[in-house]
This record gives sequence, structure tokens and C-alpha cells, in this order.
Amino acid sequence: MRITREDLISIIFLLPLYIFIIIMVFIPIINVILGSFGISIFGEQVNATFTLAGYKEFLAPESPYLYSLFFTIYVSLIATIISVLAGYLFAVYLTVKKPPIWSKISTVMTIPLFTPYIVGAFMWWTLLWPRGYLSLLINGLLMKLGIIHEPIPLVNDPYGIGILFGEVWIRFVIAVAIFYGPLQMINPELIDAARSLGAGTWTIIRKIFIPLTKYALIATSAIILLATMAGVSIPLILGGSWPQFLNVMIYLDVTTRFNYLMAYTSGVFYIIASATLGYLFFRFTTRKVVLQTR
Amino acid sequence: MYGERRQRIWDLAVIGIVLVYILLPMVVLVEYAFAQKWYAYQLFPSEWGFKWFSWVFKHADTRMAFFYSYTLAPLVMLATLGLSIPAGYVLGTRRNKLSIFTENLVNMNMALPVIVIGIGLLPLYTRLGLLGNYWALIPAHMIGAIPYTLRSVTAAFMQVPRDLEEAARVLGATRLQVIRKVYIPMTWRGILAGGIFAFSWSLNEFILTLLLGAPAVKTLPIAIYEYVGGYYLTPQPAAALSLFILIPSIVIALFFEKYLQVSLGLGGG
Repeated sequence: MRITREDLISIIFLLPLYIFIIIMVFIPIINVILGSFGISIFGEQVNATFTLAGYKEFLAPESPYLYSLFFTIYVSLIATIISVLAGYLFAVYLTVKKPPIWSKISTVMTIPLFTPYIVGAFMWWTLLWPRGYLSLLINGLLMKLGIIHEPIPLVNDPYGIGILFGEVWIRFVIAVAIFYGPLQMINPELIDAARSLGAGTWTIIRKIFIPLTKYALIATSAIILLATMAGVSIPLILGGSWPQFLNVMIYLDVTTRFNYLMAYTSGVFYIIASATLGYLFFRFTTRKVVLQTR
Repeated sequence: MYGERRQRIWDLAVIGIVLVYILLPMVVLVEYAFAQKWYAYQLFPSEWGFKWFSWVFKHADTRMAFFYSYTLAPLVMLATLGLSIPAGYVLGTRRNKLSIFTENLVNMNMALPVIVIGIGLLPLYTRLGLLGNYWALIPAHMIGAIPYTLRSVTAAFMQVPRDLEEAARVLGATRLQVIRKVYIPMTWRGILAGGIFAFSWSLNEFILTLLLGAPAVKTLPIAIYEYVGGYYLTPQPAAALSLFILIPSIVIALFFEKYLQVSLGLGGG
């Protein structure tokens, strides 16, 4: 095989990118995977002899890590379902009704996308802490209705309520932004035809929109679930002292508990989860989202 | 007629609720930042002013956070573009197996949680003595920025018709002239958008800075975290500080929409 001049230029131009990825992404990932088995590349953070102790501790029946993993998945799943559902319905609303004022204010919708997560999390904290407006409103309402007798914590709480508020605020907008494009590509004549044949809005959503944007729905759910599970700022600010998101556990393991073995082991579970969800996302976005709507 | 009016009321109601939902947290943030006196039993502050802004600037720690955040961001932007422009040129103009493989590889990075990369980098940085090193934060901030910047730059190069370069070459243009007269005029928007993205990513980067830079190098997000996530709660200065990264971020968003036409697909109905 001969390397042409063109090939040589490609290689030279791509080389810095590859070197960067190898040093800044590959080596750290290999370090995490080997570290989870106790093998250390760079120093004394772990025992330096092969061990399965990390996995044993992680998967033990009473393991806080396993509990954290379930808590992470559970809260992230709820956040994803709410964001995707609300985002999809809002995008459908915009597609079907085409409200004229929308074009004037659509920029506002992009604000959460550009808001630093840490600021977004803090903003919700100010609304949800015991003196926050939302906390006063919700607790006041629930007490008036007799559902609760004393105020419940809506942030730094053991149920992940605070995390849900923070996550959904950002992910809802992402969902609207992603769904809006594919929905616009649906032939409007289909909707007119269905309407003239007597279909209601729900039937149109069920029989036309959802089948035609099925792949966009799967891909968006995957990416939102992944982002929610991986993001650290929101669970760190809005989460409680227990249970915690697995990534907060990782953070505490390396900064305060100095338990690298467990941090690396939890890291491997994250790598597996993100590889699965990432695969789902890229598989359905690279081709099908575009193809199915044409 | 009646139906149209009812429809307009519906539109206003639905969009109004969404707008309030999006904007309410921001309004409350501004309220906290400007609240000088606010007793626990009051629903609203009794005195407004700029006290917390001057408080923020009086502290050497937060002053340094400004310096670190706003000098790191342009450096990260330049370094990310330096890496993304040559790579984006190849990926955008030559759609072969190598290009597609490279794209997939970079996309894969996007799926990896930053905290996992961070704990993997920690021993490497410790070994190299780079913990708390200002310059060493540049590559750390680039990890998250590259996939988006590269995508924007690649898309810009893809839009340049291949024939243009060939025609210019046939007519005797040098490689440098081709870059100056063909590529730069046709790709600057995408490159600028990619660069601004890297800038804004760096401004917002939190967890890697916390792991690899703090406590020696504290950027604005770290300073905010220390006010609210630490052992003592001081929401007012954190709110004032937040505005200094929130407002630039929103200005950047508006800039994207207006001048670069890189809207997020939300425009108009």
C-alpha cells in the first residue's frame, strides 16, 4: 500500500488531535479500568496488585455504591421521562399550532442551554431551599390540603426532588430543541389528511408524529439519560447527603475518602452505562433520524 | 373568529407557562444578587443595592477567580481552534474511512462522563506535578470543547465546494492563496462559532477544574460552588458572582442566534 501525498496531509493534520485524545482521554480511561482491578500505572493510589476487591465491595448486597447506582438510574430515568414527554408535547404544540408569538420569544428558550450547570443548579437551590418561593408555595399548598403536616425539604432531600427540578429545567429545553427539527420535516399534508378523515389531536400524535419520529425519541431519551447520569454539578448542589449520585460518590472518594479503588470501580460502571447509551444515540442519530422523516 | 381568539388565548397560556418556568429561576437569582437586606420573615428584600457586587470584588479570592476564568477561556478557545481547524479541514473535505473513524472516535469522547476522565487524569497530573497548574487546565478544558468545536468547523469546511479549490489551483493559486481567498471567506462563521463555543465551555467548566486545579486555581464556577456547596451557605454573594458568568453566557447565546445563524432549530413557527 502506497501512502499518497493526500494521505500524508490528512495524517499530519489529524495527528495533533489523535495525540490529544490519546493523552487526555485514552490513557485516563485505561487508568480507570486497570485501577478498578488494583493495577496502577502512575503511582500508589491503588494497591498495585491485581484484585477484585473493588467489584466485590461494589456488588455486595448492602453496598452503598450499588444503592447509589440505582438511585442515579432511578432519578435520571424520571428526569428523562418528564423532560422527553414535556419537550415532545411542547414541540408538537409548536409544530401543529404554529403560534405567531413564538418566533419573537424563541431565543428565551435557549437560555438554559447556555446557562452553566453550576449556576442553573444554584438558581433552583434559591427557589427550593426552605425560604425559597417554590418551597413556600408547594409546602403551603400541601399543608393547606392536609397532605403534609410539616414542610418537606425540596432540596438536598433524600428523594432527589431537588435534582429532578434542576435537571428537568435544562433537559426539557434540550428535548424541545432536538424534537423541533424532525417534527418540522413531517409532511403537513399528512396531518391535514388525517384531520379531514376525522382524527383528533391525540390520534394524530399517536398515529403520525410518534411513528415518524420514533428514532428521534429513542436517541433523545438516550442522550438525555446519559447527560443526566453523568452531570456532577446538579447532584452536587441539589442532592442530599444520602443517597447520593454515583458521580458524587466518585468525587468524594477521590477528594475526601481517598479511596481510589472504589472511585475507579464506580468509574467503570459509568463507562459501561455511557458506552451503551452513547451507542444507542449515535446509532439512531447518524442515519435514521434523517432518513425516516424524508 | 371566536375559534381564532380562543386559539390565541391558548397560545399565550401555554407559552406563558413555559416562559415563566424558564425565567423564574433567573429572576430570583437577580433578586438575591441585589438584595442588601432580607430578613427571614420577609418575602421580598427590604433594601436593594450593589453591596454584594462590591463585596465580591473586595475579596482577593474572587478577584483571582475572575482573572483565571476570563484568561483561561480565550486560551482554551485558541488552543481548541488550533487543533480543530486542521482536523476539521481534513474531516470536511475528505470523506474517507479515516475521517469517519476519527469522527466516531471524537463522538465517543462526548459520551464519556467527564468525572471518569477526571479521576483517570488525576494520577497522571499528580505524577507530572501539574496539579493546581494554571496552564495544565487548558488541555483539561479542551476535552469537553473539542467535540463541539470540531463539529462546527468540519461542517463549515464541508460547505465549501470541492471544485472551488481545484479551480483556484488550476488557475495558478498557491495553497496559501487558496486558504486566504477560498477557505477563510467561506468558513469563518463556522470557525468563529466553534471558537466561541470553546470559550463558553471553558467559562462553565467545573468538575475538572475542581479536581485538577483547585484549591490553587479557582475559577468562577468553583468560587460559586464554595459559597453554596460548602459548609456555610451564603447565597447572596454566590448570586452576584453567578451573574458574571450567566450574563456573558446569555450574550453569547444571543450572538449565536443573531449573527452566526447557528440557531438551535427553535426559530419561528
